Amino acid sequence: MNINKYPEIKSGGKLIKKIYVAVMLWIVGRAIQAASRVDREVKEEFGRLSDDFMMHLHVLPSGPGMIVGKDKNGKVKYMGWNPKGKKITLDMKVKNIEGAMLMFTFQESTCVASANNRLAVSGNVPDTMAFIRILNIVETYLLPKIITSFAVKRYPKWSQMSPMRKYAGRVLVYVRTFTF
Amino acid sequence: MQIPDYFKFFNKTRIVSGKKSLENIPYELQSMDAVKPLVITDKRSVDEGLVKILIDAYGDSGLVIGAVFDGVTAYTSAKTVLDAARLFRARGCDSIISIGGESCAFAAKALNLLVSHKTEDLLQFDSLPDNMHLCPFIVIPTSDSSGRETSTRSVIDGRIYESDELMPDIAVIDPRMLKKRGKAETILPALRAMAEAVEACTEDAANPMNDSFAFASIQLICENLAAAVNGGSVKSVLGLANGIAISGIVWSNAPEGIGSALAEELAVRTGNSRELCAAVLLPHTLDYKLKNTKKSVRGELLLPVAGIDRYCAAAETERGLLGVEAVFEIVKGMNKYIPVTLKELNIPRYILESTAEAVEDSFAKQYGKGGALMILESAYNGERVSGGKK
Amino acid sequence: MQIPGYYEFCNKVKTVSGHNALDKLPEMLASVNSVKPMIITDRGVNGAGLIEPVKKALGAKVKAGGIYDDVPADSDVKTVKDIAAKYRAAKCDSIIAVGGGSVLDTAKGVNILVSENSDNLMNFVGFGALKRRLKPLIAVPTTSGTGSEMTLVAVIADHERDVKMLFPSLFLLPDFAVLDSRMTKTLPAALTAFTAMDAMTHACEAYTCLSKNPLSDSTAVMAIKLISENIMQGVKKPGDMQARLALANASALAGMSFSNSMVGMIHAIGHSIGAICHVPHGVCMSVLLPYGLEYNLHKTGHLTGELLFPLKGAEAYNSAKAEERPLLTIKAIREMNSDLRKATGGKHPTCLKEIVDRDGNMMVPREVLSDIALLSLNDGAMVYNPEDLDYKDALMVLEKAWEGEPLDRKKIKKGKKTSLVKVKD
Ligand SMILES: [Fe+2]
Repeated sequence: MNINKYPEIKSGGKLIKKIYVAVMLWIVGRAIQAASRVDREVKEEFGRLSDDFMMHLHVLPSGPGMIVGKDKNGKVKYMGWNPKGKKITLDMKVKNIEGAMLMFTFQESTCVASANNRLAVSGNVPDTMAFIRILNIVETYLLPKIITSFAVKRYPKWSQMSPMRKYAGRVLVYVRTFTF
Repeated sequence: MQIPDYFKFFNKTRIVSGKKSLENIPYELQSMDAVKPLVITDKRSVDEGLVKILIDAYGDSGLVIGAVFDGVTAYTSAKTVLDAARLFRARGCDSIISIGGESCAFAAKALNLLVSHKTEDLLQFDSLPDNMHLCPFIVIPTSDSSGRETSTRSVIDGRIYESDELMPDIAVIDPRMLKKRGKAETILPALRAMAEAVEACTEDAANPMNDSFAFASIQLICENLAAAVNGGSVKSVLGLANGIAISGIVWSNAPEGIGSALAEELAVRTGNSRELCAAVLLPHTLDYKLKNTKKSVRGELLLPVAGIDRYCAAAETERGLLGVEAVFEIVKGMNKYIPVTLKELNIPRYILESTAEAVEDSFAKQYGKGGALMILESAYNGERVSGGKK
Repeated sequence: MQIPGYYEFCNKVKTVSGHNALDKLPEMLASVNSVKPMIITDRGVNGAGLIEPVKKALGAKVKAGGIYDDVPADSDVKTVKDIAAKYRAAKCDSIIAVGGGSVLDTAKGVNILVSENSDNLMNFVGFGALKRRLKPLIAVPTTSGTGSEMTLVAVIADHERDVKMLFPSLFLLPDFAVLDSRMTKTLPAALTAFTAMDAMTHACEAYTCLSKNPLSDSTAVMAIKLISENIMQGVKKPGDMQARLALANASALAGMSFSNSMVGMIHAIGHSIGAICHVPHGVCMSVLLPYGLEYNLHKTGHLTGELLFPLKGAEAYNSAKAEERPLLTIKAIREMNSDLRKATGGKHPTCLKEIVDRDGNMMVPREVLSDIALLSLNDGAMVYNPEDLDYKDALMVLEKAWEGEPLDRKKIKKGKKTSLVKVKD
């Protein structure tokens, strides 16, 4: 048998998908920072998290990713993608880029993605739960209702939403997400 | 529910099924401490583009596939396995992925024996030892799969190798790998898998764990077979593939039954496929069991075959019979595409006799003398078994 | 049978079941090349004489490298380290864990340390930290409920840092689960009742929560059927070995099921009651089970309706209309709890205010419900529940469960209704 007939195969890349997910992560990261300033619930959730809270959401094996955490003054900040030098307290790994695509094209909600075992999380459970709730709220800000209702189990009724979240909140989050 | 005074149950194989499941393979291998698999498959899987789908799924993983060995043929020989083993070693592989039907999985299992024991001699394995510490092994079923992929068995050059540990670590059932097949080619493996699951839960030794798996397997096949044959929606094809994969686990946990023994012998004697023989014999074996044993065909069989509503609507005493009827219905419903009697296969009578004789001794105690022949005769004419024990 | 868009199922534990299943221990050990197992258990189990059949089964052929019977009710790091040191000193080569959930958790923790040759459990927290097979672990459950002999997670407390560490890994699945009816024969009636209801809850949640799949479904239905058919017998006639074996099998099946399909709000709230009020887990499950199913009706009513069959049998299922079945299922569970209360002389509670400790003191005072509600939102099981719960929702459920009144379903904030049958509010 001629072994050379059966070459080794190096895995290819998935650049376009990685760029898409990177952009989405950037938007979500900025939006979390923005929401932590204007939304009461998000503010409270962060308030209950410890002062050194630092969350790294990233795609295995080589990214993209984003980091959101509290700075020295306890302010919630989007901190880019590079975990170097940061003490991560909640590490949320998406097992592969296709899993991330399912999540960020909103075909699978965070809960369904967890149920489908697409995430591997290291960190304590209460932090994880708090962060999933924050993500759900931020999604109701960022996305049109029709899409968000796929991504969360129940979409908050407009009547139950504060006027802040209905209008002002949305505008503010958008503005804060897209300006530096 | 029937719980025997003693039983064992084991399923080593983890099932990962559905959307984008192939993409998990690099992660799964790494979590078993492996990074470089050898893919073992056949020409058909390459031609259908299945290997390419796997390679694409490897995208962004940063890992390397040691090689794709596509030399497996319908009859798995020791020579093939040895070739694959040499390739495995030359490339420094540490794990195995098989794509395709049972012949590919058989080759993969035997390959695992060789490379894990650092030997080139399959024949040294008279009986397989416990605790072998085999390499991580993933099976990717395709539309050629029979269910034996997930079983404890490998057959090389007609020789059987059997061990719990030969079961794959993971079966990755991805809809992209389940290409459309001809109607008969879809029906036969499904019916054979169903025959084996039905047989397992109609044995005196049935236990609640294997029953649970058998019921899942039977129900998945019964609910999805017609849809998979007519049109083949993704859901039905995926459901069928799941049912077939689970049947291998069930089969591995049950003693050999009279139905599959007869199908095996008949296939060898007539040159018909095992699938076909098993499909034709399925309802008749069941019918015979119902009429000649007290407890083996329990009413519960009706549940996976006909669904919860029909099961609950049936009178308790009728359920066994209705279960058998429902199986007849399913098999006969496929008569447009496959033969359902031995007569249609032109099998001469003397072969029926010699086939019956070959299995008679092993099962006479359980089912009475002459039972094997009665099953074959009723399958010949497509009639119901008449009367009880001879 | 619903085939999900995606699912995973793993149950690679060799199950050995029977009235004398333990007698196969020497064979099991030989098959994993072990000659010197360490037995890990707790005082209660040892005191009940349950180590005797294990020793007898090992016989003259295998000499155990020691019996450690000091596992606390809440497995912790110190105990794990302690046992690991003894294991090493005695040069053991496998573990036999005899007991309930905490014994098994401890044994899994010990196995990590001795297999990875480490002294620091912290290095192995979270997913993917273990990559290799561990030493052989044989699980011998002495209750029929937790199903931990079939689960892949170990929970171990670090009291110094006041945290619970989670070790989820397929490598933590035991090599063997030995279901021997003798091991549960002496279980008192009340304990038999609520541990069986824990298993019942595993199966019901597995059948209705987000990760359900064909195999978790069929194992769940089988478990519920076995429990319904045998629970009363097990409670009333403790010596009925057939019922004991059936419950042990049911518990293992339910364990298989929920280990793959996960559990939801019932466990989330139940864990929190356990943490704050130290109520035994199964007791919380018995009370909360009907409430969880009720809360999720608009999402999974059709599935709850299907459970009427394994619970009450084919006739009951057939004589009810599809839209009546979900509420009948819930009613059947409430009745089961009342029957168990009668059969245990009032020891089995049907609502939270009925839960009392040994001295008859109420264990869940009404004032702590708000703390429980808040804590339950942070329990991982919430992720897998079909409907969301916020603080007010959890509190509402708890208040009704405290009083023993059904939920006012009009007050539930409902997301998109996915139940295939309409259930009237
Ligand atoms: Fe539980």
